[in-house]
Amino acid sequence: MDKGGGGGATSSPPYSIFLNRGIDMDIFRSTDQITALVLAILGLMMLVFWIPNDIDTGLVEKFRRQIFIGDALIPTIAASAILLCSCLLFISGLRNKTNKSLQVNPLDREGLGFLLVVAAIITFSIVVMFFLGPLAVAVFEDESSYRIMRDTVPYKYLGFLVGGSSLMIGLIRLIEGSIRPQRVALAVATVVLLIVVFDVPFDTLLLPPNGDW
Amino acid sequence: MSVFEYVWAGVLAVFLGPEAFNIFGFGIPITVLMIISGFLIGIFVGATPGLSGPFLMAVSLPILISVFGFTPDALLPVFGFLVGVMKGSTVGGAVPAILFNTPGTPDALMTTLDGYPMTKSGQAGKALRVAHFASASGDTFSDIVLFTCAPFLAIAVESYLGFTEKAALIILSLSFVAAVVGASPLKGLISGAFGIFFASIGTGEDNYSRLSFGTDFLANGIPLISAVLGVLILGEVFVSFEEMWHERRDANAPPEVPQSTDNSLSFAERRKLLPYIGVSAFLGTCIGALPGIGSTLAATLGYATGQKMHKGKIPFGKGAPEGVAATEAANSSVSGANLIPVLSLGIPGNVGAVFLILAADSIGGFNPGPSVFRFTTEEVNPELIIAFGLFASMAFANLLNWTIGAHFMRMVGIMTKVPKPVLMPFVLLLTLTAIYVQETTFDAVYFMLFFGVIGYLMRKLAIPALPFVIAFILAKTLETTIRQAFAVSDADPFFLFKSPLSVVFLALSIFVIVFFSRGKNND
Amino acid sequence: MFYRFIKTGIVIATLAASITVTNATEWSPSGPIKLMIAFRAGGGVDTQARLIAGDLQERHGWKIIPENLAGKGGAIMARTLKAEPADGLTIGMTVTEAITYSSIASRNAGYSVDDFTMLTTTTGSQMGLFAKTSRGWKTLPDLIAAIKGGQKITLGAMSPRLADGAYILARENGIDFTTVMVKGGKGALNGVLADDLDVGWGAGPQNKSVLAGDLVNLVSGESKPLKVSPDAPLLADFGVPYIMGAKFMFVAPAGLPEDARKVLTDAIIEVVSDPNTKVNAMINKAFSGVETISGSDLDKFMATLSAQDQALLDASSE
Repeated sequence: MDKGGGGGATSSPPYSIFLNRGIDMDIFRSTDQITALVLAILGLMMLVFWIPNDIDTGLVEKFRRQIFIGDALIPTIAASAILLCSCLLFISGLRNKTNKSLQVNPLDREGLGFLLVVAAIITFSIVVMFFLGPLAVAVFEDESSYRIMRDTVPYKYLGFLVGGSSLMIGLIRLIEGSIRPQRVALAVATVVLLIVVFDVPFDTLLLPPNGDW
Repeated sequence: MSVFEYVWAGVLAVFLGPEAFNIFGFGIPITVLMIISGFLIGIFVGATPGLSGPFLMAVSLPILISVFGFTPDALLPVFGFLVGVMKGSTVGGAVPAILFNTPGTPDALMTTLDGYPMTKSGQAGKALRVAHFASASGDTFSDIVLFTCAPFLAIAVESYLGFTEKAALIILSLSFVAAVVGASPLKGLISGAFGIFFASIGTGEDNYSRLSFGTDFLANGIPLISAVLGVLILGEVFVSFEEMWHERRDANAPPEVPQSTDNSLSFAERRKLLPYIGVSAFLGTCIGALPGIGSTLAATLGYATGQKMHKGKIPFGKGAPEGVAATEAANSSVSGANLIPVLSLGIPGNVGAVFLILAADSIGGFNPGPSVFRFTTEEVNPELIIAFGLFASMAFANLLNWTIGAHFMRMVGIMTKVPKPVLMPFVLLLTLTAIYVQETTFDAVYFMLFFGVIGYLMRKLAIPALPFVIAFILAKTLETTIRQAFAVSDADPFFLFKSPLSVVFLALSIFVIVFFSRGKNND
Repeated sequence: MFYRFIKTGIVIATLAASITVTNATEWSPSGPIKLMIAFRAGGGVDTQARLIAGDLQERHGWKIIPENLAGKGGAIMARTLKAEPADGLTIGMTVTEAITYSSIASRNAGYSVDDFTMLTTTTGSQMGLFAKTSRGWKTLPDLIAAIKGGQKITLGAMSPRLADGAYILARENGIDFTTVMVKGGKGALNGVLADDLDVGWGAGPQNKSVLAGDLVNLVSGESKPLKVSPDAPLLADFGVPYIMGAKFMFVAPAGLPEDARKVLTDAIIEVVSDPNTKVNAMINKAFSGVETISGSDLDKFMATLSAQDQALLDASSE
């Protein structure tokens, strides 16, 4: 039983484990092989380049007449484990004729394209969230800065409201293929709800992006 | 203080703690109020397909902390809420499974097998009652085991385990999680190793923050909550975006079935269910106490065992109440037992337990682990009172389950109507907001998105996420303990093999990996 | 980063405008104050900082937003605070050694004492080297005798500075400790209570158990005897001319205008010294009591500490 994300928020339909999506077993096998190969290379890079060049102490360190474990030990063990296990995974893939471990569609070009659109929506929304408030302050307030106004209505909510709504609306539009007015209203309402839950009752909580200014 | 006084102090801390408000002269203690609200909200969230208890625990944590602050007084109300959510969501999870054949959580999958056929034959009310009765019984059993086992286990650990053995024990737990979760122990190990590696970034003893490329962004380390929520929640969210986009189809509402008017569950009927409930509760408790394997496996095993025991006229899968009972008793008895490794060792084994540890970690003043159960007589050990307060909260939540749980179960069927294309983007925004208010910097959000992509890839490539999360959480403790064990051994390179007990733990770690590798390959 | 650049630009522009406005009257914060705490949430110092924040908010109507930036012995908070504008809207709560010792011990700490405007200290630690009473040691000479008699002693230290102190103490008295680094203020306490460690440095959390009789302070790491163990000798009696204790303090980025410094400092001192505040009671119970050093006295004090920590580092890295 795959309990990987089991308790996580939103399990993919649990019954997917039992669905045969009619995908050729060879794809699974090769995906596992490629994954193992990529991870092995990643582990090797960590071990050979990253760890030696980006940690100041070694596996063990001697100071004050005593030997201590250095900062490099644990990352080295972790990276070695990644390398070793990936190699073993690769080899076991060669031996096994069938590999049933993959239950979901592996990555395909279509999926990657979809992810890029999701990434664009998220990036756009975060940029709006971050800069809209300061921009409004710069335009409408002569002698102030966002740092001073970040606790003042409406500026403190502006970025979150517009950025959050655009995130919701963009994603709903992408998933459903179209956007109905009720959905827009629902999206904005949920953002308002978040403001009411997280900000209105609390003095010391800061909504995005107010902690960064 | 004597043992009894500690227990009593814990109970009093819950029921005579600070009052939230007054009704007719009766003060409602804040902890009690939090347990009740956690329980009720938990039922609703558990009944919503796509949401689960741990998710609710995750996003409510920053709110709870800002309401109650960072003092030890905050611990019991916050724990109370989380415990309420844990129990409520388990109960709620069965509702959509029985009424609409759509399990809200993976645990409830087996509940659909007999629950929905019962609904189709007009016995929805009875099915809900069976599920509730079994769930509450399993929960009670599990709690009793927790209350009795955790303190003794903790005392044993505290007196027999030094730094070396503790380090070996953490390694054993990690191997166990890596081996049993997911399809291949190798992938589990890779996942865990990445968790440890990422947790190493920006930390360490040296003044230079290791693996930070000299940047300030990485020098402060990766916020725990960003990594955990990113991999667990955002990964799922991204996958569900893609699935909805692929499918883009509306779930058709199942037709209404005329329901029988007599949906009561008689005492005799309840007694007939007891053997199934007993066996399942025992299985669920054993599984819950082990790190890494959770309620889904418990439900499956409980159902399968019940099927073997069953000799009634309605076979399993055709609407047998025994099937519902066996499943629900098994998955409900996991949540209490889950806390055994948390409270006795400080090792979280499951996602729900992860958030209890995170809560304790953020608030401070309570460090889950063996030092909690130090029965000091001269001075008061406040952590022990909190631990007993936690037990009292669980017992109270269980009582709620018995008394009002059934009524609320019948109300939450409506939650299945929440449109998923709106729900999932909302989950994304909610998680982003919750992390931001806790960390107050967009850096934490960027980390969360990065780990969301990692979580997405892991799901696509069938690499289990739980070993990553648990390794990430335990990495710091593991490294500290290993450093200490090494220092105490006077720099012996074989320091981990110097005590018999730690050798046993290490041998077991290798054994579970090998054992599960062979078992899974032969499948 | 790009947004940092823009942010700084906006801040500098408006700062120039706002300084001319506020010069005439007494300074007061023009927006919410961010309080960075260099300690984990829930610990003694965190509680102290949050109590002070609450009182300041109540008395002056300032909005204060506490934020925990723990790690690397205070270096993480120090580096972040240094990069903030010196407009009085960001202050930090830390410990003296995070500013002095941590900045010189590291090859590239990224900050130094000069990067901060010191506001005021609030209180100090009650640093002692402690052990279980059941071990039979009454004071440090008993422990030294035990080590000379052949016992191997493990010592828990939560910071490199305390490990340095233990090293010099051992060297000056012809003994050896096996030093074990522990995490957090209670790390050594838990280690000693669970018999994983023999002795440990404690900044104060050990003192409840000392009063109960379970633990004993063998030596005081402060410049004077400890409140709970007046009989414990001083480190200076054993050839260690360094103070292991530390003071907890508020700091701001360097270049904070003098009027802002004065207003903030006075406000904090007022809250801490008022016997009716919760924080005052807490400081007296869990720390060394009210110790407010501020203004030019504090600048001198920090300079002295820096010199002392430099000497300690030189002595222990021989």
